[in-house]
Amino acid sequence: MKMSINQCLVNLLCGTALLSATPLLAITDDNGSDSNSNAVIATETESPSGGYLKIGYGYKSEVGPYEDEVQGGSLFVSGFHQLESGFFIEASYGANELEQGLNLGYNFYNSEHWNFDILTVEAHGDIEYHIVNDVTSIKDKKDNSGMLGFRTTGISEQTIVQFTIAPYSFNDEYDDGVYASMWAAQTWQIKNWELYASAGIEYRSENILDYYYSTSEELEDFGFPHYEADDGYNVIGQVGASYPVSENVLFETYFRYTDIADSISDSPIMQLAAQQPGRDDNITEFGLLFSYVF
Amino acid sequence: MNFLIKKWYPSTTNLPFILRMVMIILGLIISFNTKADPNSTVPMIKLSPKQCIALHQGKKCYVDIELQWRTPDKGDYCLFSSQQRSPLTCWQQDDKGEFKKEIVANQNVIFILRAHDSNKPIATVELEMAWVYKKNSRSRSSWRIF
Repeated sequence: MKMSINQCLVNLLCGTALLSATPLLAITDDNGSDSNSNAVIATETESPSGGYLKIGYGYKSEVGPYEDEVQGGSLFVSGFHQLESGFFIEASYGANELEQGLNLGYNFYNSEHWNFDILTVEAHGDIEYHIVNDVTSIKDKKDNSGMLGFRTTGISEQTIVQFTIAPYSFNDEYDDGVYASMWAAQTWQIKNWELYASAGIEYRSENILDYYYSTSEELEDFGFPHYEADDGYNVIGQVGASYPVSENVLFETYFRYTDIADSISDSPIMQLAAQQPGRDDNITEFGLLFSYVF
Repeated sequence: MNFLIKKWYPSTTNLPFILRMVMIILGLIISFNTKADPNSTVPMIKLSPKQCIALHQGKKCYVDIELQWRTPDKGDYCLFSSQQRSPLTCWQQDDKGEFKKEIVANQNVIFILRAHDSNKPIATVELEMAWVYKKNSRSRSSWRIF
């Protein structure tokens, strides 16, 4: 960096998580069936409407480039509710993070193993930075990118796969970009414990990443080198376990690692952020919580 | 100077004597009724726990149960469950027994105590399946048009 920055204050908030990447939802879209189960037969006549609301509290440790290290008590909220008509609302929030946020959708077709939805997707969260040096300071805020997309979810016994593509952005700061994701999760039941492992990949086109991570003239005047972000892929891996303590109370634990796309990590803003104490290039998250399910 | 400080708090000592006596008698009646009576003429079967909790509806649920039974008369008795035709276990010339087992089920299980030479249930108790997440009934072949 050409200019010495003695004191830096970089605050970035970003919601990049794939919805099903959350430990809270990866396990709740489970439709695995047991051909010998009368309970399965009974559900064939049930209404598709309904859902759940889960509020959890527990310990969370998170290190990443967007925020200072989080270690301590944290609130987790997730939920899903679908109306008889097919419209649904789903939410996923952590106390100190923006995950996929609140989404609305419409479930228009279901086959035995596949669900098809049109929905809003939060393809990228807000970003806000404030950088201070000896002489001056610079700050900026980039709005989140809500997008409209198509999602299909395949469910087979203990495996869930999900594909999302969102070609229309509600963010009018840039021309339409493309957000896409692929996700697969495998669950194992050991007694009443459920263990799961999942892996996902998120794609964001150049239009999206350019808006968030390319350097503006103001940043270059401030001393940052010129940078134009290309498209990029985030890769996410997660393992976790859940145990039902009672009909309404769950114990959950998870570990998630997000490898952030090079086109994001190479941004001078992100490189500065990752150098701050308690931050890292990629995101490592661990949680241990009790949840109440309504 | 004297101060009179009157502090009010809910306490049974403030209740009239007759009301306290009624409460004591009611308490005794309830305690007599709930206490196991070894000379009872009614067969009894007790299950613990009464519920098995799985994460998802329809998934197998695992629970270690403990079942106790007692009858007024000694005899040959067998314990059955709705999961299998053959008896889980039998007792000879007993008027009480205990049974422990890990149960794996995805629907309610009924335990039935029968006399060895009869199909008539002497006592029954049900292990209830419960779950945190209700099965998502989306997966059906259907189109929606609003």
